[in-house]
Amino acid sequence: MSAATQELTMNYTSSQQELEDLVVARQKLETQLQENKIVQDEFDTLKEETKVYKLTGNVLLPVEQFEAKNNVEKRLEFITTEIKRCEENIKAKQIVLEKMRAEIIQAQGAQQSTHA
Amino acid sequence: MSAQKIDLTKLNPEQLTMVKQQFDQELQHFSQSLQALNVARNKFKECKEDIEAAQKLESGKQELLVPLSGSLYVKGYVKDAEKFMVDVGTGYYVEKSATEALEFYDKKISKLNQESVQIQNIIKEKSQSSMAVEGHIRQAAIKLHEQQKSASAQTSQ
Repeated sequence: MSAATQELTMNYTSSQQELEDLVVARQKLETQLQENKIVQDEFDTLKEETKVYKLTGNVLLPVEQFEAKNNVEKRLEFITTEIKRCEENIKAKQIVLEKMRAEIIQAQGAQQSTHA
Repeated sequence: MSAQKIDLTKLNPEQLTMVKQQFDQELQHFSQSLQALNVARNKFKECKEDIEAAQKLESGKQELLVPLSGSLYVKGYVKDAEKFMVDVGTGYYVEKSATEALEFYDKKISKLNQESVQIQNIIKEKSQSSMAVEGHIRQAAIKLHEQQKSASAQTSQ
């Protein structure tokens, strides 16, 4: 294998790793999204006078219900934009990988024809 | 999950093994999910039992030990066995009456039951597919073997 193709394959594997990391990040975001959605659903069923607490460190601190609701809503917004960003990155990475794969195949083909 | 259809009879043994590996991997993943669901469901069931046990106690009389740290306790009393703090996720706790809390956990458990049935169905499907692929691998191997046999018979003639 020539030095050029070796570098190509090395770049390819590192990009592949990056793609994998992005996919893991996307999965983590999905888990967070689902958890926050569950909390929001629960908050929606609360009576007005129901007390809500937030666990901060080792202490349960009372919080206003509307404050908790706003907080969860903001988090959901944040997570959805993060998911969008992450998916765009994944798509871009996939395109890059596709290109690299074509280049590698081309390089290998060129090498084989010089050998023959 | 995979929408595209592949004609298994057209694949060679290596490709078939790869397909089977993929199915087995998915199977493993779903079995793990099922286990996690069961663990979660048992936790909720325990919570329900705890509420029912705490309700039987007389408020203000039942003694208990309150953990201050992992290994340090002080004596306390159950002041109100009708109010419970329920963890609803992401660090938020909601005050609920015993019946409300029980309802909450019942809802959670029935949701988990639904999901567990879904996953069990998927597992059944996947293991059937995996078995079918295995059958194809065997057939392909037999075919290959026969071809080799007839080829060697021809050369020896």
